[in-house]
Amino acid sequence: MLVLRRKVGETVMLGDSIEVQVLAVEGDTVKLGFAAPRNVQILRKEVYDALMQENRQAGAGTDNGGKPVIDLLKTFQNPAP
Amino acid sequence: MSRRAVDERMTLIRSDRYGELHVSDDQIFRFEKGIVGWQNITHYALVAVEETPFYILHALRDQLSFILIPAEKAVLDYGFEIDDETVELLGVRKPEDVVPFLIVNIVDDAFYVNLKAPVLLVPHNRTGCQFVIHDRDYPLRHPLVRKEGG
Repeated sequence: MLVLRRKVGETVMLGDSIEVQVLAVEGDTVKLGFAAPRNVQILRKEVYDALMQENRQAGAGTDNGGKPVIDLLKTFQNPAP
Repeated sequence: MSRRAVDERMTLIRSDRYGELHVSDDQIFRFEKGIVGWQNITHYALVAVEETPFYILHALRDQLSFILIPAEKAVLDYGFEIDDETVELLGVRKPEDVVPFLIVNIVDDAFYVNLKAPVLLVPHNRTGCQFVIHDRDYPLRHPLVRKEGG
């Protein structure tokens, strides 16, 4: 991991188009500002990890014992008596 | 169906999970940020699942797909602020331009929806994104309950 020392107000460039600026340091909390192209999603790592895990499960499609997903969706709307 | 112009371009998606999906241009949405976990997959088609409130959001050129449900059919009292960057990203002109959908996750035959990070679609310019709600504390996994008459 690259380690840099920066003062409040100073900035780091990631590539040509992503800027990370140190805005303030309050106790053990660092306030950062980000400027990035709009196709870059900026998230706290813990939010990203949780969201990615949920997305991966939803996107993978659960194995429903071989039942086609469509049938399962129709079951939801019209529950069997 | 009959209002569609005969010569409208249709795109064929060969889906491993759903078979052949024929989609028209107005069903194709551009996700400039992709979806969290798949930043590089940027084009998706929205396909209604007949006889259900659900939709399939299927990547145009990949096997990735999600099940969606319109937020209004899934939850009551659901609302959030959209930041200026997202408004600009999606080309939103007024709040009604945005149609929020929830990603459905099926776990052991039980249905859940992701309230924390809805998929926002803007039909008039066919853009979309997965938006992470920060101003309210919504859960990533919330049981989906059938709405009576909905």
